[in-house]
Amino acid sequence: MEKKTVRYKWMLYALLMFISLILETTLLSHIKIFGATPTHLLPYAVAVIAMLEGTTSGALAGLFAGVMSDALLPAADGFYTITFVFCGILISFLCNFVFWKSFWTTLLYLAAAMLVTRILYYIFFFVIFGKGEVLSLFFTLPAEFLATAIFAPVIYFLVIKIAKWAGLGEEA
Amino acid sequence: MKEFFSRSWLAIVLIAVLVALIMGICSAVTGGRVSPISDLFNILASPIQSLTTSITDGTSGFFEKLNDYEKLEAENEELRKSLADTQKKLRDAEKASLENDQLRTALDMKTKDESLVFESAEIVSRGDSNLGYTFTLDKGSINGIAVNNCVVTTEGMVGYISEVGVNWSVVTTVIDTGMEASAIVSRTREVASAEGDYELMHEGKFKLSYITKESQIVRGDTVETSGFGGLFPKGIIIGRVEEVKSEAHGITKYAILSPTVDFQNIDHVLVIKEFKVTE
Repeated sequence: MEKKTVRYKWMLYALLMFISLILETTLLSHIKIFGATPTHLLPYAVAVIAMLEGTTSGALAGLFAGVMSDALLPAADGFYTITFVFCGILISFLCNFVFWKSFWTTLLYLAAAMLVTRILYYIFFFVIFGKGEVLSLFFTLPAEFLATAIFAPVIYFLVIKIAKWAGLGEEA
Repeated sequence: MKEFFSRSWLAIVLIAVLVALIMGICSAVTGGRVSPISDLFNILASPIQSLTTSITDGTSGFFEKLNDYEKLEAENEELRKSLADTQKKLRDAEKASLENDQLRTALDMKTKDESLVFESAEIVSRGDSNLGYTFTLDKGSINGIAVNNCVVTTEGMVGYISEVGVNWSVVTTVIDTGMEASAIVSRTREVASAEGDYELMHEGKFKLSYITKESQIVRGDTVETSGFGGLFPKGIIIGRVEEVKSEAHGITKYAILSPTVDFQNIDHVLVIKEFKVTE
């Protein structure tokens, strides 16, 4: 793969993640599906990239998504940077055990990413700072998963398109 | 798996930790002011967020309405029930207020005449026809009501009981053609006969007959029950003189009376079951 193509591919990934975050904080925050807003599109994008590209690329996508989230979301201070990088690495690691690379397996990765994000959130904010109730934090996860899964095909389709354009998508 | 164990991603983890630390330190040092990284992303994101928000605002009303529909429906149902409940309470309060007025009147009348025994009753139907003007009450013989009992309100005499059932009774009003009672003009103390008249009944009025030619009766005089004959208690206002006319034969005069009770707007009445005859 040409260096130029790789650069463009990553620029497109970055743009896709950037737009996902913008949409999450504006348009999608008004929509409630099963009582939850679809606010996990960014870790989903990281998960799809990690599945297609491997550990290093997954971690890199997680780093960009995390820094961007920390910069744009209130009171995060590095939480998302650590969490999304961890998600990228974890999902690429899981891919070694799940041989199918399809949309349905990405939903499994989305669930894993959401669970990891929530556990780390609990450790960061609830265990360290002693805020809130842990049960309510995890009870909302199924609804949040379903709400995100409805919009997931769009992200999946776009990541696959970018990967295919860059010559990576044959196996996807 | 090979790539995973090559640990080339470790460098990214280190960068991530470093970036997180810088962000945390920046936040702590600046005391909440934005870091340069945050500033950069916000500069890039702000115009796009603004554009998306303006588009969203146009459609958010629709989504909000959609989300709130069930909530509003439930709230609407609850409010309807609450309104119906409040209206029922209001009706009950009005009913109680009317009954209270009735009882006050009864008490007032009873103060004047201790022998009076009342029964409060509600008008359940009106027999307003071309042939008569009657009411049906929700009380009857089981409540001690009997034929010829006098029926009154705070304003004066309504009529008398003409029929009695077990739990119902019919009131023949003072304007009905069946009405005939000995009456007295309050001011002049002249005795006459208050009676219903077919033609006057349709105008909601009745007649005071057998007034002597020399009578000083004038428009505005009040007419009350005389108590003669022992049928009705003495001193209950029956009506007010509207007009005084001479009979065709010229021997006596008659007066057209309007009842003091507004028959269209009464719901509750008092039936005088017992009284001491005083003539």
